[in-house]
Amino acid sequence: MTGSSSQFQQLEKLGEGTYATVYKGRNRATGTFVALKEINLDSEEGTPSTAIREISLMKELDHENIVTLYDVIHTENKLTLVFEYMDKDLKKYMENHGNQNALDLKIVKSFMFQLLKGIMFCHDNRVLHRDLKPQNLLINHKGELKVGDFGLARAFGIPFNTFSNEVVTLWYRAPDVLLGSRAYTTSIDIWSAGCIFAEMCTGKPLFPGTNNDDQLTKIFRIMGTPNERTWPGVSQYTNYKNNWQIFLPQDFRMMIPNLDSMGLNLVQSLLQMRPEARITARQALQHPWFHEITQPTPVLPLADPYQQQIQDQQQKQQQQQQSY
Amino acid sequence: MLSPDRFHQIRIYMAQLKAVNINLQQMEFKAHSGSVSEYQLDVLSHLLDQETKSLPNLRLIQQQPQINLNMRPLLLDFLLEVINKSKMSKATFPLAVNLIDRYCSTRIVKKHHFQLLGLTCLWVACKNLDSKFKVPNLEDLRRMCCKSYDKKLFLEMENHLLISLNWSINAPTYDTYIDLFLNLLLAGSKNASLNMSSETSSKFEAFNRLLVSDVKILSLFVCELMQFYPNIYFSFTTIQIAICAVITSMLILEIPININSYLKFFNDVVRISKQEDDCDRPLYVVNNIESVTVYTENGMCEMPSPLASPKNVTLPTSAIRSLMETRGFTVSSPTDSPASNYSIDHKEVLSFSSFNQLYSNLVKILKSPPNSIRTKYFSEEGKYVRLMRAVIDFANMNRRLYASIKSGTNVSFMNPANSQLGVGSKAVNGSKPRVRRISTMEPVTPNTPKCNGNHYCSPPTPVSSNISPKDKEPGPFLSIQHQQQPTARQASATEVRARKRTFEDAVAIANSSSTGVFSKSVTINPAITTAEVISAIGTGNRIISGKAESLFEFQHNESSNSLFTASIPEGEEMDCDKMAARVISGTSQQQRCQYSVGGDMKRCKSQPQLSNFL
Repeated sequence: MTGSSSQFQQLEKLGEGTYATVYKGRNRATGTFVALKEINLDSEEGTPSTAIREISLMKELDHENIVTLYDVIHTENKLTLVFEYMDKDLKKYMENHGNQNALDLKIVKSFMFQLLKGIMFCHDNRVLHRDLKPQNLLINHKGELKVGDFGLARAFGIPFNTFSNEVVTLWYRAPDVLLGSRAYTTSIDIWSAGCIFAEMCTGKPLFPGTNNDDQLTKIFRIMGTPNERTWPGVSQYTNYKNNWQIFLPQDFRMMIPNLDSMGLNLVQSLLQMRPEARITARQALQHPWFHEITQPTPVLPLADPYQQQIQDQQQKQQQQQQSY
Repeated sequence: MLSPDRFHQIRIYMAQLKAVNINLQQMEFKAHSGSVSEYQLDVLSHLLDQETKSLPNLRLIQQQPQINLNMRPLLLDFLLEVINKSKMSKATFPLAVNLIDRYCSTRIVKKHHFQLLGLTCLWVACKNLDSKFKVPNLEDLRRMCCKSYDKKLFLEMENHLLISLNWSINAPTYDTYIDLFLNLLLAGSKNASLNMSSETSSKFEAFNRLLVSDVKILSLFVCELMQFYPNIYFSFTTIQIAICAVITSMLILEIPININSYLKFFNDVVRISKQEDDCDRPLYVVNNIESVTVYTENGMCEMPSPLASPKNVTLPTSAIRSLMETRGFTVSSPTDSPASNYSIDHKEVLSFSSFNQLYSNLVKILKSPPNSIRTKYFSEEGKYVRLMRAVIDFANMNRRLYASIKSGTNVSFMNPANSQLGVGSKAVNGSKPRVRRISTMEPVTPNTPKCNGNHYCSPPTPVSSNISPKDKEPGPFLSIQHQQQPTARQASATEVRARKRTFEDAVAIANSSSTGVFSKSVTINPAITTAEVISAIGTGNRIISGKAESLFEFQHNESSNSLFTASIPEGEEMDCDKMAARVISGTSQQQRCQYSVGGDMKRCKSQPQLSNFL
């Protein structure tokens, strides 16, 4: 990785993150577009830990549903990450292509499948993304979805370590994390995936909270207020209050009217209040809702030429018998 | 390192409150065990992949013009002290060490920049693993090294380090492996089938969370210790070190385990995790490893897996096939040179013989920890005193065993292939071996070599002495040794004494025969079970490996129903792998098993319960 910044022509600004600015760029030699993520280096802090984590993890993750990191350009006061260029993020895609931001169910299914594949690959490689949201899911013109921005990602241990609970943009943060759990693992990314699923179907964020408590209330309003009976041990969490307003669980059919029952079942498995009840990415990929992707055409009995020969012979015999 | 975040203190307070709550901890553990068990094999296979990519190269390090391996322990000692003081995560130290070694394998380091490199690696490792409040800033780093380096140098070094390592910072560390293995074992013990006989299984039920945390702490201690010894650290991979550490800690804690089946279990887990085909692999291997037929050189036998459980047999046929193909090998092939360990052998991660090699090295360094480890674990008011007492007991016992053997024979138990890596057998026998005792008809009685005051007679260091950490003052050990035993151990004191006693008897027997009681069958006191003799041989592998010209025969009285012979033909080289193969094959043929021993036939009448112990 010994690229120099002159290799790339810097074009328009694509976005600004918490610690970096992203530009569109063009490779002067080949003319291909890239995304340039520029990180300013602090003279006191050195290379920021987010950058170290992001780069070292992205170098491990090589998958079709994860954005590829091509190069790292390290200069004295600036660090530039060269990523594969993607046309849009999911948020913009929904604004442009959706019907009032809501996407067609076929597209939703394809995107969800790719998202879950990306998540599964991360989890298999013991990486938690911890910041899944539509802005971090990138779409290209071929309709491929790739997970990007691993700035908050980190490797998890098994069983698990305790992490900060200040992760994931509030709207996509799992209830156990909101309640104060710091010992989360893969289930936190699954909750985010569930929120994104619902958002793609309806065009509106599912739980648009303004702060921690508001976020919890928004979740309870739909999922029902948890108690010791529905979630044993919930009162042990640090942020548990016994004066929460009591809500009853809502029917998801009312929330996402355009989704079929199989899809509703998947949403519900993704959006489980209790982390242990949440489905894992691998299980979700085997969910029957995805059957038309996983088994696109039913297996034809005539596919095997040898079998076909036998059947031809049998038919001939039958014809002969009939002719007799 | 004051944080600018004013809520930081509040969060820390909340976290501490929460950490105290055992109920919540258990609840969270339960909550995640499902997803954890689904992913752990994938994670393991990924870690193994990573490990091959992040290995340092010893030969290149040795070519460094200005620095040498003697300086390494000093630097590590300093770094570990820094890490302990600032309470960084337990993975930070091994990662920093890995970064240092990898950098040294690629770039030339000047002598006066070695500490700079160490601190920078620590900095990067800490940024990668710890929360941002624990990451030291440049001023802290400067203070740590007494302001001998400028701030700018740190920044330059960091750039250089990251570019040299091509930004591949993550390396699998032993603590991840330890967590994984303990998790697997725990899941196994829940299936109530970790191999034990009825008497010991009750003991194993105590393999609960408390014991697990003890094993974990000890394993971490052992691993940290091993990093200081380049000869051990560079001849074995991280996963091998982790496996050895887990098993050794169990031995230290006197958990009755069967070394061979544990090794086999770990090897199987690794092998299965390596299988590429995703759908072919069972989700929960722990439930699925049933007993598997094994082909050894002496025929076929049934090998119960340590975690065999009657239900959930869904091991795919391909898995069984690959298990069978490799299993026979695991028992009977003693060929394993440490040089080949550099590339991780996917068939077998840690064979019995390399385990023994590692273990025998480990026993020798257990009691000479460097300063930083000593202050971390061995301080009187620290929380680890109880465990460290067990370590010292263990080391003393092994030393006594070792000393008694050494006085008898001059057995060189080092693999010659090792010596080029610095594990010279010369260094081991550096103190001149005593004159070989010719007549050992009176075996070393277990009562005499108590060596009360003398138990810290300088342990034979496996390293050439200039590499090993410099401190050898016996101070804290003596004081700990003469302290009262803690109450927890007092309860089982009698039992332990009984165990030791029989163990020592067995050792004496093993010893006597290894020192020249040729062709003479030794009748063992019926109070000693065969298993204990075997375990004595197992742990005393160092005794009989190398050149053992003796004929081993262990027989019980005819009255006791477990009779067993394990014999070594005269003049044949013997090590524990072969011995294990023999003994296992002895158990295979149920009624009568016979095999030739130096010409004559021995008969094994009943089926001894050896599979439990080897």
